[in-house]
Amino acid sequence: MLGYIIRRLLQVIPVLWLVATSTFFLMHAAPGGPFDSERQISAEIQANINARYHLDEPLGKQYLRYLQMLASGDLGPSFRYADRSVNEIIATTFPVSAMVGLIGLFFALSIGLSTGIFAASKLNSWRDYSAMLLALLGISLPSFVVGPLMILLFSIKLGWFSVSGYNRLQDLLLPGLTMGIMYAAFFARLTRGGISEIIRQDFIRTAKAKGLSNTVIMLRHTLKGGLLPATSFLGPAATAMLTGSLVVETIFNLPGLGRFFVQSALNRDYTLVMGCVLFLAVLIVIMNLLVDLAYAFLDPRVTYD
Amino acid sequence: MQDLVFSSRIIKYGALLALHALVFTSASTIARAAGATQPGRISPAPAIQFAEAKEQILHVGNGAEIKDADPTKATGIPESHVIENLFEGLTAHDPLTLAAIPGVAQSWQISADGKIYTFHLRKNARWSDGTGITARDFVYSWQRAVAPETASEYAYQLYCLKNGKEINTGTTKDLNALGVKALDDYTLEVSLNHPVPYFLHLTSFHTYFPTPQHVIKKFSGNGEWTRAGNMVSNGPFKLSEWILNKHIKLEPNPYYWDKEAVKLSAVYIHPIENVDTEEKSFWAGELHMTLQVPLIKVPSYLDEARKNPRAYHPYKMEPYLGTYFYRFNTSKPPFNDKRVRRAFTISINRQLLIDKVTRHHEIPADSLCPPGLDGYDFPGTLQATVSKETLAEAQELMSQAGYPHGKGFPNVSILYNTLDNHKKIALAVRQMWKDSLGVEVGLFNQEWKVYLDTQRKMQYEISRAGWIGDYPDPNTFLDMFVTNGANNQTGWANKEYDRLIEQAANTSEHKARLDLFRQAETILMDELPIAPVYIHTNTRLVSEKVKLVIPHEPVRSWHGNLTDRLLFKYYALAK
Amino acid sequence: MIKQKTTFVAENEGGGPSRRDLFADAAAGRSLWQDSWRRLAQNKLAVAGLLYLLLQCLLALLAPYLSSYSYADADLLLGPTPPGGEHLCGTDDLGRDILARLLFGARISLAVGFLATAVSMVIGVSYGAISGYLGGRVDTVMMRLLEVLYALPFTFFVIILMVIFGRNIYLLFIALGAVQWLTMARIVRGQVLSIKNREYVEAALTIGVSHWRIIWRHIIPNIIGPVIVYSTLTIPVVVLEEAFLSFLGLGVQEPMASWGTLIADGVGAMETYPWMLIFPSFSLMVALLALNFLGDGLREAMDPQAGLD
Repeated sequence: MLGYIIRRLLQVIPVLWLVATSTFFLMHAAPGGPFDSERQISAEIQANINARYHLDEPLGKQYLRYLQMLASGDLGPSFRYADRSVNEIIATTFPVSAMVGLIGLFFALSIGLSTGIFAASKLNSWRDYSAMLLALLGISLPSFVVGPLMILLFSIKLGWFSVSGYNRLQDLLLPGLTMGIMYAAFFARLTRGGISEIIRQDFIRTAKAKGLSNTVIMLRHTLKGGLLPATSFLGPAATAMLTGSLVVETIFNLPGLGRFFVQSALNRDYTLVMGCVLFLAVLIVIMNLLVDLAYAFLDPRVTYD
Repeated sequence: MQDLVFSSRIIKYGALLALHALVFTSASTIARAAGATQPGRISPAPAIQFAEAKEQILHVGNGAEIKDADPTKATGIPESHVIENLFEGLTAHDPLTLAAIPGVAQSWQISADGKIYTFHLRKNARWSDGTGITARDFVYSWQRAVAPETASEYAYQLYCLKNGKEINTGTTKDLNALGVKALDDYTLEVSLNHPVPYFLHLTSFHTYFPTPQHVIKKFSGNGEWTRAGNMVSNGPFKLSEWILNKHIKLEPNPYYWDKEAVKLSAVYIHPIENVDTEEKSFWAGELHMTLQVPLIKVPSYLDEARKNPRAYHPYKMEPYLGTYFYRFNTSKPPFNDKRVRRAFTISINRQLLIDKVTRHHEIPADSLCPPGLDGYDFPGTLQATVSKETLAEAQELMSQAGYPHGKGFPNVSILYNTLDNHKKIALAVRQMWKDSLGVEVGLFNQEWKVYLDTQRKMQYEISRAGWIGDYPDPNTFLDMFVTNGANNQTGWANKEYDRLIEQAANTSEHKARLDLFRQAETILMDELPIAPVYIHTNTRLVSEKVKLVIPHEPVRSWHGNLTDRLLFKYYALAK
Repeated sequence: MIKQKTTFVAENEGGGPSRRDLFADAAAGRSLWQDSWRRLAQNKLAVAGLLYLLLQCLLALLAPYLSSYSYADADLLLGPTPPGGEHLCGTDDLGRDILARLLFGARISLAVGFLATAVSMVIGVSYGAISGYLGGRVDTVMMRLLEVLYALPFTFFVIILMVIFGRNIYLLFIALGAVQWLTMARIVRGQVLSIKNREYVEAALTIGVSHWRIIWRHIIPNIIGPVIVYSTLTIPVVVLEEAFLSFLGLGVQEPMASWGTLIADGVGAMETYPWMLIFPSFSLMVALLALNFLGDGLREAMDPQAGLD
């Protein structure tokens, strides 16, 4: 088990190298540079800037310089946000995204699992259909539609939350909910699917034949196996939610990390792009590992060595 | 956050100025105190009750997070909104007219040939840590601005100083060769390469601002000195908080020489990128001022103003020193043909575009230069609408060029960067060209940096462009199109035009100089490497509470200016 | 932002013989299909979903003949008009007919949905099948690589690709498809692995039945069910991904529209011209509903176990 965990964690190294290399060359292949603006600067001034940021060196050399820096745990200075290091930007913005993500995860799991169980408790009945219809609506409305609708209703009409930014912790509820709704829908469907699969299995039939009550069966037998599909989705879902969403953070104007994933690419902020992507990769590896461990717990047939 | 109410009950007619309120105007001024209902138009109104000192907290939307707060290195409008309140140059802006008024310099003399400026600094100017400001601070800052290692994008703003360009491009290594000398602690002598009639505007631009040598050196030249807690500034405000993508908080600078003029007790500058969120935030009472107004909402604001003309309307619209235009790639067919360029240019129905698409009451551009350029006026020839005669002329030109009714016209596209407004304008203009010239023009939308790259490499046929003037002088617009100018990007070259711009740069006599510019623009408007579309307006939502308190002037409602300077020194909040 | 949408991990991947395979062996491939089809036909919701999707495809194909308005032509003087009268769904703020734009937009959205899913199917099935069938060290390496690939922020790469290469519609199909194949590969590999180790397959191999015949007779019929089911789940994800790219301004090139671009345009007009948001959102929602009903129906129809309840 421990060996398995160590092996999985060691995976981070090839992952980081692959991510760093592909992102580095992809970014530098993109037209334009970090200092382009509508006001075209003269070649001489451009040369001064390139010299300062080592952009005048051959790409291979810049790549090695970056890897060297990375090896020492330094993600370098941001190009766009003058004099802020990428480490610092990630350190200050990730907590906000993670907070929203946790709230989102809470909504996603509580709404998703309860809807799924509710639907599965009586398959192919009206409550099953209506719960699943609701879940489908959640999936098919993009968050850039749900977000503004929420603001309109809860912040402007009802005045419960701040529209932009957050001053109090409660202001993170709305973005969390917006993010959670979509994932809740996925969890609901997966839970229902998982449970309906288990219900058909022999040991449940046996339990029924033995005269155990539905509730007992549900709690003792069905849930454990029925939650497997939802669990395997938990990894990617949690990663996506914790690292923040561009859409949610832009619409609610939150100082989170999610905005930087795309914005830094658009700004050609090479170091920040790399930093965000690498950070995300590490997080994905860890989350996937956690999920697999949870899997082993829920499903006795799965063992790791 | 306090509740902002957008109704007329804020102004209490006939109410006396409460004693505990800030008293910033003389009694006679209060009697004449004005609450303008329309931008610029002052109507008599009763006294205004100002909010208490601790409630003088202004919240402003400012678009994208600023890149840098170092005056020497920063570029961009959102940056200037922050920096111009933190720092002050030798000269400052008049908040309404933008004329150069004394800043750190109390007075100045200009030599007869217009090349030597002598500034006399005020002795009570201080940094926000209490250190006095001397002429040497300016020498340091300006030398730092042109030093190649600083890598300032705006270094070229100082190229008019003697040896400015030479030092920046590395041909002269000696920083002391720069045309700026401290004659004593409070006297600064500036030598220019040639007369620069707008030089006093430049000294109020942030690249020319003083920077605190003693602080920058402490952080060994790296940018950490611009962080809240580290930064020391000399303007009306100091930086007290800067949380990335959350807000920037300014507080009054206790050592500012004119600190009595500052009424606000804090300014929060919120980076809100999403226009819709910004607008919603304003209506929720979280902002006093926005940076923009969503295009699609403008008709309803205008309707509201029409229906209820006496009430206060937060939608504000000011002329702006900027032009929106399309570039033609003159280096290849079909736009190497002047006739085609003219046909395309005159068949844009500018008024219709403004009324139905851009909607901010922009001014149809009849030439490149917007009004307000220091007395410069050019009798533009382009029309706002497309008359029958114009249409006939355009079609005739296309026939002459070999494309009757658009037949045989090559595939061309409008290049624009990803932004809703540009998209809509391109769609509308495309339709106009299709209807009037029979030409089917494609659209080509690129992400910002790719667009800049494509435009620079001239891999386009038609490209949307815009230009905002740095200072109110025609040079800021017209020198863009000199042959091989970095911002020309049309491939257009004209020797006579180059000569006129060059000659204007060396002419100090105001009228003669403007005349040279006029001749140059005549050539430009005849050749049309660009199709001017409209003159920008600057629109934002402003709460009724925001007032301008300018010395020796009646208190007035918020009022913008031509280059969108937000000078919070003059702002105050009504109750 | 990064939607590592997945992960209907093959239910039987963890090991243990799946009932599905036993049944598949008992009934020959063909009659399994007939059974599935009969079960699907009995599922009213699934049939309704299928019919709706067919209708929507037909409408999209016939778009030029159905609307008297062009999706591209702006009418500035008309401006935004509410639904009703000449413009059934109203016009947008440039006076363009929304119905026409919806019909043409369906082309892009459906094409993105189906083609990108097809791309993911091709990559995922080949990768998974090769890994599972060859087994051994190849399988180990390929699965390790897959684990590494799972950690790549693919949506981010799609964005960079779209930024670099512009709004190339084919690139969009491929890029979105290339993001979605990982889970498909895992499902297929698990399925192949469990079939391959059946005794009768091993027996067939020893008596000299060719690999191709085994693949054709035993493996393909067994993986096609889960593949189709997973594909119907991928389509909505891809369509939404396109909408997300449109929100960033990286969708299709104007004046062409997709449902995603129409919704993105409509969001800003939510309060002023709500019909600009309502109609495209509704179209997207109903199509996704239909797809999901069909997907659920297929899953149940393809699972012989379902019939026993």
